[in-house]
Amino acid sequence: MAVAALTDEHQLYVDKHVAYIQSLDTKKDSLDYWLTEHLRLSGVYWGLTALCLMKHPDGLPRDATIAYVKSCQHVSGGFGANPGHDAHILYTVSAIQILAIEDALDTIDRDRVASWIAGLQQESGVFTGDEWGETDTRFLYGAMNALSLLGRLDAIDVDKAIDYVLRCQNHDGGFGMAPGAESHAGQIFTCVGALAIAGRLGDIDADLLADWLCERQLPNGGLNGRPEKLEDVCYSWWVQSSLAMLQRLHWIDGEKLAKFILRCQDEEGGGIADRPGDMVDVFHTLFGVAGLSLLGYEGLEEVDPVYCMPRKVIKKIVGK
Amino acid sequence: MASHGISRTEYAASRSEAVQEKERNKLTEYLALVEQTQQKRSAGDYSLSALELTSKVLKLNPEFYTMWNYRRQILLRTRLLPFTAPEPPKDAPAAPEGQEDPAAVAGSLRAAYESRLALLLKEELEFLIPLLMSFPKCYWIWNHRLWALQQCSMLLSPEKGTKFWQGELQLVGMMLTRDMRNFHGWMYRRIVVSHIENPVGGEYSSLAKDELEYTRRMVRGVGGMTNYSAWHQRSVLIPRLLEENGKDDQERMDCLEDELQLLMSAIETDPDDQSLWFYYRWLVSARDKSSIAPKMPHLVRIAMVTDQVEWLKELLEAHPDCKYILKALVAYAQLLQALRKEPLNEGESEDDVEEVDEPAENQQILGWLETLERMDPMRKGRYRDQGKVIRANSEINNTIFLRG
Repeated sequence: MAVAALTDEHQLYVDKHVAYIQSLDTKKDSLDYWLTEHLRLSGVYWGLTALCLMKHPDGLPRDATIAYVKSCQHVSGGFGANPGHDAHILYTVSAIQILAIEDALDTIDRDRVASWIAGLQQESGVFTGDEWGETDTRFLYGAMNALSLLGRLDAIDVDKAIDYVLRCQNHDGGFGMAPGAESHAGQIFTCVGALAIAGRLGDIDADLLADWLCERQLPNGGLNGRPEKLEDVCYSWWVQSSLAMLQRLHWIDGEKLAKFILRCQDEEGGGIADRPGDMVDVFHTLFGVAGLSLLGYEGLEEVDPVYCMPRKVIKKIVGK
Repeated sequence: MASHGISRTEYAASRSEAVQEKERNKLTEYLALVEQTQQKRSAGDYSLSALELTSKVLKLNPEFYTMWNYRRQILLRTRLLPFTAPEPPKDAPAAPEGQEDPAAVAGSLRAAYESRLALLLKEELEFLIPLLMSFPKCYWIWNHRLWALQQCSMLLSPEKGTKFWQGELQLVGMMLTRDMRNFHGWMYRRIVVSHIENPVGGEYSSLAKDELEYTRRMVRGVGGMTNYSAWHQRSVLIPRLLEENGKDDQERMDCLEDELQLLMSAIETDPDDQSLWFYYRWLVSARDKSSIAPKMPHLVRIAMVTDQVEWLKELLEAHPDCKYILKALVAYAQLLQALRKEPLNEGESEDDVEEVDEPAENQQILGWLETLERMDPMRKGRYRDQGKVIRANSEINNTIFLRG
């Protein structure tokens, strides 16, 4: 589904977005820069991936980026969000994703990272985020994502993890953060992603789930994350990537969605917001661009729906 | 993300020089505070003054998860130490008359420890309330609160520990009144309820009935019908309650009937409310072991779905532009076709299954799908796929018929 024939009014301001992402690390005199320090490493992953998808893979200085990632690693093998921040699965996944994109996975001790991640798996199959015990299907997906990039899925009990994912499925076909929790598009992405990595997508009723997912599209073209909620650009990714993994991306209106995402751009300062006219951030910038890439928007690099990384990187590392 | 739902123009208009100046001062103060706290941690300082610093940082930035970790490390070394009974001196002679029995002394020490600890835990929970009010979607605050409550279970007597968990129902009730769709709140509620149901050292006592009543009040309240979170929660609670109460097949069917009535009247009030339709689909079509009436006799099930299809057709006359009615008609007309092809239960007669003209029925379903394509063009790919399956199946049937 190529979305090319859009008018001038609907174009992606690639140069602005590239400049916006590159400027993020120069804002150290702003309060916002420091109040988001707890997710810095993920911010680098969001920015770098967005740059790659916009065909600016060298948009961040490679050596400095790799050195920064490594400076966030702990002796245990896990990564924190920034130097001085504790190790957590969320940032460990971002670290591995960045190193994979930069083709630098060989610069770290893969086994140490893999054994730290494997140590987070619980008897039920789910993963904690760190030593403090919070569990979530987000962490389970993150573990499988990172371990598959490291070629170390054998370090965990994949069948148990998938059993847990299936226990999180609801009658509406969707998935929640834990068994019994309400379906939510973000959690659906993580659960469908885990199933895809394990090669177990055949275990679920794709029509049932995809029907719930396609009903996320609202008349303005945007997607919401749960019934009767507002649209948000990040769901362009969570919902769409899930539909793509289920081979049912054509169940929503791609052109309308593309126009919605494009309306969320800041045409002057660059970046993409959650909704038209709102403040932009690098998180929504990535998920907007990745959403457009899934829609086949002209001039963008192909994105992998399971990993939210350039497709060619995944083909090279995971081989499928 | 920090910028969810903040308008660019409002933000720009708010950036007066005075505001920027204030922000610069706040930044200087914040950075100094963080540096001071991190230095203490690097120096292995787990004192109460360091705890105070984490409070200050977290009030400014509750997303700083490392600070929560540091806070817990301090608490575990200061305020939340486990009770240690005083060791009796070795070879101590039996307490002479007139002196206190060492067991009684230990008992009163334990009681004093518990009272003090309960106060400290209460203080920790109170610290979190204003943070939850200002940042109701911050994972780390909910997470820390659960951790503190787990400490209550571990360190206090079972009765005292359970009281803390019970107190949480009020808090989470209030949070869900403020935002009835907050999924952190709903998740928290499930965890709290599960702890109350399974007290440390005590017997399981179900709250499913009370919780179901809570969801009923939710969906009946103002704007409640559209609360998908509450409907979802009913789909989890009802099967559990039926199971726990050992309800028989007839009682289960009665329950399904009541729930269907509730939904049908809600749908008649607002047929465009998507939340209702997903829940309604579960009621009509679920047959797995976690559904309400999994062992419903085959013919009864056919009759129930037939009634629903008839009701939907009537509803469509009143609301010809409602796509959800058409979608439901497509789904349940197909469900009926599938049900008719299944083997009957023992004692049921083929004669009771109505003869239908399936090709004609398929034409009607295809007609509905075409209407849906026009009415809901964003999802036309979905409707076309459904139509393709029907056409492909009838082609197979025709081929078999011709060969026969």
